[in-house]
Amino acid sequence: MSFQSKSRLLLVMLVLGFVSACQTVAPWEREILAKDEMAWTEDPLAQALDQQVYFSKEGASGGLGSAGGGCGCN
Amino acid sequence: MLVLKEFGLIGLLLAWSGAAVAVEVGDSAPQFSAPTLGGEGPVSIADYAGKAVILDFWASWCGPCLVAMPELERLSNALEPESAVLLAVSVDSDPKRAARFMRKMGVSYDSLIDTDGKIAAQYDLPGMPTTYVINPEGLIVARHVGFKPGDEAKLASAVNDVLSK
Repeated sequence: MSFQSKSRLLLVMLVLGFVSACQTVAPWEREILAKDEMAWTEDPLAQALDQQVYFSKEGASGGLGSAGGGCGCN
Repeated sequence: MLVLKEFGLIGLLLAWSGAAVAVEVGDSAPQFSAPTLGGEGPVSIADYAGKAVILDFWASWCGPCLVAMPELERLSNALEPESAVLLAVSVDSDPKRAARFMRKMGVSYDSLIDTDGKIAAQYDLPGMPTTYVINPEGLIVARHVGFKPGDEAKLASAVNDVLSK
C-alpha cells in the first residue's frame, strides 16, 4: 500500500471516528434523561417568570433550551 | 478503485454500527416475543396472527403515555377479543416500576416488557409513545407517534378501517 493510500485510509478512519462520536439517544433510551433531576431547572414556574422578564427586556423570545422533555415525543 | 474501496469500507462500518431502519406503514410488523409484566409468557406477536393488533410502546417515565393509557384502556375494552387485541410493550428498565405505574393508572390490559430495548430497536421507534395498528395479515397500516387528547379518535378510526375490511 502506497503512502497516498495509507493517508487516505487514515483520513477515512479519522472521519468515521468523528462520525461515531455524534451519537443520539434513542427515544426508548431516555429514561434517565426524563428524570426530574435531569431537568434544566428545578422550578419550572420560576424559570417561566425569569424568561418573561428576560424576553420583555430583550424584545424577543425563544432560543432557549432544547426541544422535548426527554421522552422523545416532541 | 481505491475510492470505491473506501466507500465500501464506510458502508460496511455504518452497517456494522447497527443503524436501524424505522418501520413504516406498509411494512411487515417485525416479529418478537417477550414476557408480560405479570411474569407470564413469553408472548409472541405471532400468537395474534389473523387478528388486528394495536401495538403500543410506552414507558412510565413518558408524559404522553400517561395521557394515552386511559384512552387505550377504553379502546381495548371496545375491541372484540376474537378480531382485535391491544398489545402494550413497556420499555422501562424496571418491570416492577412499570407494573406499579399500570396499577396506578388503573388499566386492565396487560403489557409486555422490553427492558433491554431490543423490540423498540427492531421497530426503531421515532418517539414515545409510538402506537402501530397491524392488520390481520401482519402489515402495519397506521403509526401514531406521541399522544395528546383527541388522538384516540385517529387510532380508533385506523382500527375500524382494518376491522371493516
